[in-house]
Amino acid sequence: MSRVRIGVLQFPGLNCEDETLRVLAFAGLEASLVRWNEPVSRLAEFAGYVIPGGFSYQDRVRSGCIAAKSALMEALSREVEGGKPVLGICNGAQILVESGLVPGTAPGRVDVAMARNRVPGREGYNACWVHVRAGRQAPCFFTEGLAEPFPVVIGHAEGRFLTRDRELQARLEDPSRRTLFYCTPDGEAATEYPFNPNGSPGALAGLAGLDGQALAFMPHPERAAWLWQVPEDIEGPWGRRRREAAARAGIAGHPGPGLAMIESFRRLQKVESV
Amino acid sequence: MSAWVFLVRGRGVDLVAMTALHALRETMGLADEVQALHRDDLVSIEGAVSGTAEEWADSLTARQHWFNPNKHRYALYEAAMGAHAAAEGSTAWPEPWLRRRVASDRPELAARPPAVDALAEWLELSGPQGLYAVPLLVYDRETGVRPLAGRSPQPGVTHLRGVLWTLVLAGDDAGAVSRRAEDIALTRHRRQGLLVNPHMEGWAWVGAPRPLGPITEVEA
Repeated sequence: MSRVRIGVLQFPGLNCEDETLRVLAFAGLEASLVRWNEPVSRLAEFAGYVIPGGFSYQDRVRSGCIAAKSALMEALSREVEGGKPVLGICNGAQILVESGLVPGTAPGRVDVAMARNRVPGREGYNACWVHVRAGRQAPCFFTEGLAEPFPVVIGHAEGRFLTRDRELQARLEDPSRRTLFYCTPDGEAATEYPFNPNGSPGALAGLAGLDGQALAFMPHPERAAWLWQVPEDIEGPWGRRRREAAARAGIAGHPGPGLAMIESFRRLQKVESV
Repeated sequence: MSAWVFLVRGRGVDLVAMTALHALRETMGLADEVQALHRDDLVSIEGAVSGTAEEWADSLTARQHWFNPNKHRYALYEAAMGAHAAAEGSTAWPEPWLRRRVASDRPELAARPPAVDALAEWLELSGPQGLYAVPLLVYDRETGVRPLAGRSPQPGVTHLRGVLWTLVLAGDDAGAVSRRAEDIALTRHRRQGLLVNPHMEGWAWVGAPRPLGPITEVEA
């Protein structure tokens, strides 16, 4: 059976495309790079898409806003609005928000911004391990089956989902409707630093759009796809697994906590093979 | 009570403005309307400021917090009070805002007397008829107006830091240009607006669109 083909979109300044391609291959998927200056018709080849992290167009004007205006994003929007899934990681998440695919309340309408981190005593870029958990009642292609909190890496300066629309902001932060939220190692929603690493309202770490087909996720699952990437001193079951594995040989091929989200794309294979 | 506006411009080519201009003209298809785009950093200071304007100019440039003499040029202007209240939504933006040039290291400004339209002087607005300059101040909506803190805080003095974009647009009249500028600047759709995301940024149109033409100097 042929493998599901996933397109990894590349804009100038993105810098996580190589590891994203490697993780998609590790998950059993066939992944290809689609550069911003290639014919947009190439997108039709793929069953799903990832926009990786980095600094598209050097974050000029505002994170993600220049890439969001591109012909490639216009074409991607048509594919995603037609039902294909897209995962935006970090700067990819910012691009999805600036292109209106997330939260996708109306086609193309930009309803949210990714605002600067806001933590007392800390300004700017923050990179660290955090714990994240999926909301139980928020439909999302990428979080099905993600029941437990899992550790993952963040690295960003603008990661808070913010809107002027108070009704929408309340809906985004509603505990029963959150897609993914920062939490303590035992799964409680994180209200304060360091568990909530950027001051995100409602502890939002990821926001879905278009009935869950598009996910803007600020942490980097591709940096937690193998067990060896997990720090030995991290709390929770993944830290325990990492410490136990360190005592044995052959840790290299063990899956890490971020892999499950990437493996979601494999369900497309099952759908296609029905 | 005093109000100062400190304007800072890079000495070299502004790659951020070039990228934004390219996105507007080529990617978003606005080449017929958007003729140029300029970007300056702006710091507005208001309150019971101690010291003269000249002392402030010396202090701001010596401290190099907002300004690096190796990379930037600057000018300090006296301004009308009220911009900070306007940024917080309680009043209209003062017009005219900038009043008198106090100091500048831009040789072309230092060599001539202050202009009637101080902002137009800073922006060097001259060009063919049919073009309008539309200055737009963009700032962080949440942090907006803040106390002047740091190494020498001044009680009762606040500052507002933002980016002053100047769109140069082709249009029939100032009213039409003003309406188009809003569509071009405010991001409301993936195909529309670039310079402001209103969900996290505040903005202010700094005066009406200015028709381009020769700069008028203040009469002696």
